[in-house]
Amino acid sequence: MASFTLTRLCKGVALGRTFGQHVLSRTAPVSAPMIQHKTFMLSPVSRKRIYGPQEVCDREDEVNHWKNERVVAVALLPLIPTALAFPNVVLDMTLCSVMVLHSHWRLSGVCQDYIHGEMLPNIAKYGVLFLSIAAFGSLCYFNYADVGFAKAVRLIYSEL
Amino acid sequence: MASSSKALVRLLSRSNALVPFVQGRFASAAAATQAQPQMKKFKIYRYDPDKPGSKPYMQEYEIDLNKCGTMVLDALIKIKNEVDATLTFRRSCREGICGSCAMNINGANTLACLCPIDTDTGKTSKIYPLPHMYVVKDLVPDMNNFYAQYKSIEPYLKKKDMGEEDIGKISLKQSPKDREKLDGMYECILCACCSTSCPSYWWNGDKYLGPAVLMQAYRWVMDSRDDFKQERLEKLRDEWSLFRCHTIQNCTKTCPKGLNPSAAIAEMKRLLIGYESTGIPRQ
Repeated sequence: MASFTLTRLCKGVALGRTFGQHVLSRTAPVSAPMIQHKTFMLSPVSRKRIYGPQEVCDREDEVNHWKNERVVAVALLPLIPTALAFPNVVLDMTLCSVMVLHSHWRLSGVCQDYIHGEMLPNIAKYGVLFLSIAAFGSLCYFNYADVGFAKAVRLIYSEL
Repeated sequence: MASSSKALVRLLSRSNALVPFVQGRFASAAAATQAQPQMKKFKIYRYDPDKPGSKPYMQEYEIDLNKCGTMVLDALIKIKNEVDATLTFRRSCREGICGSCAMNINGANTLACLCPIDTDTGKTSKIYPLPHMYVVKDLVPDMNNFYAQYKSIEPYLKKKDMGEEDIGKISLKQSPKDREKLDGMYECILCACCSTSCPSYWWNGDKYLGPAVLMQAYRWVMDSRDDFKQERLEKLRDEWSLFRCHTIQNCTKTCPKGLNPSAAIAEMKRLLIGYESTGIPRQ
């Protein structure tokens, strides 16, 4: 209660300083810092910490992205065994692209969750993008120039 | 059959002698515990950010469980009354309906008034403030952000063709079936145990609304008397407010009222991708 009164007092002083500076100019500088020091200090909650959709963000509409993520994740469940059971070019390419897409989205999500600050999120974002493109490119090359992804996985179990 | 009934009869005939014997045993046991104090150690987080240069530390208190109530809040009040008056915590109703005494007890967010003291005196009970919140003092966290987020979902009835002057003139009725849709949500006391147990809320508490607030958002979305269902949902479409929930389920695990905020969030995601929702499913 006392702190509340003090906060109100503080506000009063602040108002007095703006609206009637000449009246309060003698008392305000003396009392204001003292009152402010004794006021119950809460950690500063800036407007930035309170999120509303009115603030700018990369994706205003996450719904479709979220839905696509689920579709891809569920599609992987039958796709992996099918591709491994019947190794062929079409299934290899489908599996590789869906896997890269899945890991790219989730890795970006992880970066978004854990990497904060001004510069680092951007670095992480493009880092993940570069990794995903590199992974997809190498997998395409492997499918084209070598035995193919599914056959390579089967070889791990049969040859090693 | 015959032998067992015989045994019973024999027991009954002896019961007159048995009663004083049992009473005597209990009395001696009670006397023994009273003579021997049950000292329980509590390690409590202390921090006074107003004092310049002060750092958080753990302070140990020891109290006699025989002279203390059963719940952790009783112990805290006893410590504050008899041992250390500077210990600071919030409490009000002491029966789990106000949500003031939410804190982290032995690693789990719960209400101190609903959490029984672990009677194993060999173990030290550790009490921290709600995790990942700014600390005002000792066990008192700064709830400003949480309340501001709650305010942002507009937790009140909104009608389309009703002005300020019409409020209170007609009663807004609801069928029992529509009322049932609010079960499992209206019971929330906003103690913030769930939000502060959510890793997503720890890392992105500034933008992600958190399970407690989202469950209340769903509560107002599901209210049959409210006219702004779609608008309320539209406000949650962005990538931070709702979709930062990764279904970790800590919220549901920790809720001291046994509610399921995770289900509320899942239902709201369903609504957003165009499915129907009929409230939190009964479990």
